[in-house]
Amino acid sequence: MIAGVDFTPVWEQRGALLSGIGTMALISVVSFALSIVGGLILAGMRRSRSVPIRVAGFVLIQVMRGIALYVLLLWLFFGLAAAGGFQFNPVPAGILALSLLNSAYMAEVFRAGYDAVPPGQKEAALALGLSRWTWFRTVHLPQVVQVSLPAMGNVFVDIVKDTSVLSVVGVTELMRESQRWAQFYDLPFEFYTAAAAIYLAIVLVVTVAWRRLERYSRRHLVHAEATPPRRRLLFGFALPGTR
Amino acid sequence: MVPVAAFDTSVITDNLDPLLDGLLLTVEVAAAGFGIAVVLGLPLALAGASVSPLLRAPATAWIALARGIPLLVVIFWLYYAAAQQGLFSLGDFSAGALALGLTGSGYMAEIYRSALNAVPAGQREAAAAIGLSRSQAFRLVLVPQAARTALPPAMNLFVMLLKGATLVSVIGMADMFYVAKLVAVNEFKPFELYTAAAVLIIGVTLVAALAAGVAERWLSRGQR
Repeated sequence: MIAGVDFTPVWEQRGALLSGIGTMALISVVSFALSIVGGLILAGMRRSRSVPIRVAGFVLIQVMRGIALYVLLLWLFFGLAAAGGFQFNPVPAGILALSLLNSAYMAEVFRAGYDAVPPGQKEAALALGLSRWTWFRTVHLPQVVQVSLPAMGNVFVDIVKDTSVLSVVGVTELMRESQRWAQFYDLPFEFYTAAAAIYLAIVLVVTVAWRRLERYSRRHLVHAEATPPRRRLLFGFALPGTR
Repeated sequence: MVPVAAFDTSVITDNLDPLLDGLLLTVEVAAAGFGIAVVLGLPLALAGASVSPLLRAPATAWIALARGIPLLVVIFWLYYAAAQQGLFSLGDFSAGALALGLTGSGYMAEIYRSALNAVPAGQREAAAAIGLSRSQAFRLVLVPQAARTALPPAMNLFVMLLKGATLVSVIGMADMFYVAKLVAVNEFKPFELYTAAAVLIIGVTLVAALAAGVAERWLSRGQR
């Protein structure tokens, strides 16, 4: 069945594929950082004392979770740009779209992390005479981050995979490069198989590295009950849940 | 920016029927993919929980592939790459549904696994104590309770597949975005058409997401 598979063109174009991986890494990291900022803002809005801000936060999160990345990209690129009479630069527009959508997921991650810290921690810190800012910075935030880390890793992996969608608006990341050379050589099997393998390898590396980061964040916890049970190899992590 | 008054709704209402037909196609491809994921996920979850490494290893590898490869890459692979090698040749709808189903199966297996794990061990022991066979215990005791836990995340997975289904237009399926693009080019009203298409698909996703929330509350009624 599989006859004449020839991966030498893939190897010849390794420079182009590597530059695609570089673009992917850059977009992923920047979008992830911006999603953390956006997620903190949205999570803060959800906890605001003002009702309109709280409602606005809720509506924003719900709507952004309902939008497909492809739909948002098409709307930005072909709808909004035409109405405004300007053109988007693909890379910043892609980062914008990824950050907007993933801020909403990140906000949910932080909200769950915030709720997971026992209220006694706050009471104890305030009883010891810590100011609210000191409590937040030295007691609360480290615990929220530690609880949220696994779910943040899932968001990061999703961002890495979703960069492939940016190829439809012309961002020259890994998928776009693979498409271009698949057409050039008329070898879709070789180039798309290579792309799938590269994405899989990157996702596995990110997952393993993130596990190490999680373990590092728990290094001071010596109690047995503070160490969660060993999770299943690689893909046993939390449910896809809301995605 | 174009003033609000310039937003031409007539171009949307004139083309509403083809747009809605396209939307239906997206929902159909998502539903077909979800069906494949629901069917493939259960044996995958059971194999993944097996004591035999011969069953466990391929299931783990399958789940890793399903969750580690971006949907767009799977769609392209099934549509272009497999055909080049003469493995199989699929239409745009089948390739899209299969890609969604294969990707979804990895997530669905995790949903089944955690739902089955969430049934207390005492239920299994009690079923054995009253003389139910292993298959009876699975069918009559485990599955009904696990289904209750699995339904909300499964519906969230459907929402995820629905959003993924919009990608099938990149291999030329004549869905809503394909229609929107055609009309937008002909009438030169891209803002109106892409906005209408976005609002329609967001509406469907939000309804599905709301239904997931309602189902979750409805299923947890009568539980302590």
